Amino acid sequence: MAQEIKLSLPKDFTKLAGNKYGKGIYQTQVKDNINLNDKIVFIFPDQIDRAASSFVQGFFDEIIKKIGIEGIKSQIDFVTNIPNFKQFVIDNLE
Amino acid sequence: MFLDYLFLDSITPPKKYKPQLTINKRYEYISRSENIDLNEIRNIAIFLSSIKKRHNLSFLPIDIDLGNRIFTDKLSYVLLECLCYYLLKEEKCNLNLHFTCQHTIFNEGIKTSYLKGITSPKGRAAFVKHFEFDIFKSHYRRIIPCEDQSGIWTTLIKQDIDAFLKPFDIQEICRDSASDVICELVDNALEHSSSDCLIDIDITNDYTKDLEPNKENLYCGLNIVIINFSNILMGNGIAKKISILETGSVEMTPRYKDVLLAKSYHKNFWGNNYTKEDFDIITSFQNKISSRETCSTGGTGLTQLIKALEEETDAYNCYMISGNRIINFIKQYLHSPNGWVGFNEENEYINAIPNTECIKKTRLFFPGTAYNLNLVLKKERYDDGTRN
Repeated sequence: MAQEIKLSLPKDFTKLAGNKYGKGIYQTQVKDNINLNDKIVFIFPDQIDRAASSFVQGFFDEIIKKIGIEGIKSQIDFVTNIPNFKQFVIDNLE
Repeated sequence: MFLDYLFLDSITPPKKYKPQLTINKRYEYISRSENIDLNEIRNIAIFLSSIKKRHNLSFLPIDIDLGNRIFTDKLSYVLLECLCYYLLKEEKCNLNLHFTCQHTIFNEGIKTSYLKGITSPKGRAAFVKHFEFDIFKSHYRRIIPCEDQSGIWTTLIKQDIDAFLKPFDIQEICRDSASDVICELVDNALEHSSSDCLIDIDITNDYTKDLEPNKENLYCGLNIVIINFSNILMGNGIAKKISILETGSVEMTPRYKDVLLAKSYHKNFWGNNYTKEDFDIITSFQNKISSRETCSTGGTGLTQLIKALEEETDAYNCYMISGNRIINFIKQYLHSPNGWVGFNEENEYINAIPNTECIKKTRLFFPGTAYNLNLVLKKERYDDGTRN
């Protein structure tokens, strides 16, 4: 069974950007709550409709060091209203 | 503080230069330049710097008369605004600025600039009040603080800019690209320079294209300036990282191995027209190359973003200035068929140097980094042929 990580973000945020901000969200909400040996599903709030490359790179910086891009492809999934988000993540990390 | 590294202090006036002093004890600068461009901004800075070396800038009134001129681009008049803000806010000068100008699609924002009011106490006060933040009609200006520990400002800016652009019938894909480019540039500036960053955007009135027989298509200009005054220049960070990699003491990815390969080729051509600093700058722009020490990702590739924006728009006069180097973003030289941007006809980074049109020297030394992006976008049309 996949681990589900529901991200908590301000209700008036519809977009996400910034390497530092992405790292911060990972550090405060994800790092101590996941087991990178298992599948993970990140759940974004419904109102988020876009994320910039800089956010993705900050958010996944530590994850990709540990499991690599292949790990992200096989273990990570998303529930989000950002269209084609998984492919966007892979394109920005590969 | 935004103006901590304003270029006034990095300019040394020529030895025999004397600022003109009128008989009624006012310092006076009269522009003799055809246009107001970066060179003319430098001339004004030399004038002010030479006064500053004699005594306080507030000692005597200062009159700057630019006559009837064209500002060649947005960055030129925004830099003039930075100088004037410094004089009025920090030095408490008695400053008067006189000019009239014709505007084009690329500098239309000058129409609403508060520069025009720097002829009276009320106008000066309005200028100072609106310098750091102004969102009114087609103009957006904000200064982003560098002490943003959480990094939340970049997200706020992306939302801000998207909301600002929405009412102008700009295609969503263009809005997304524009806000992505701006956020990436700001994010980089805040992180690498540790100093504040100014964003200024203006949207022009509608234009049609002369060469289009059918005048149904309307276009507008999206003019963007991003300024970050700093003692760190573009390329400084990547130069340090390359030095460390060259020692062999740190493991490097195949991508960085290619950077070292490129360096060994490019250094054969370093001279007056193409320098090591230029190589560091173009390397900074490459996809997946970052000066962040601990980052395994990063380096989104500013050129990728700018190229994406250029694909959805007609791009004119897009460039970056850092130190005394200008990098021109010329569409046909930004292709990356093999994952590297060459800034040349060959579209080759490792085994070819940039085209001389892409990298030039400027007389103005700019401490930090500044971008000027002039773009022309097609407006949305709805299925019934109407617009909002």
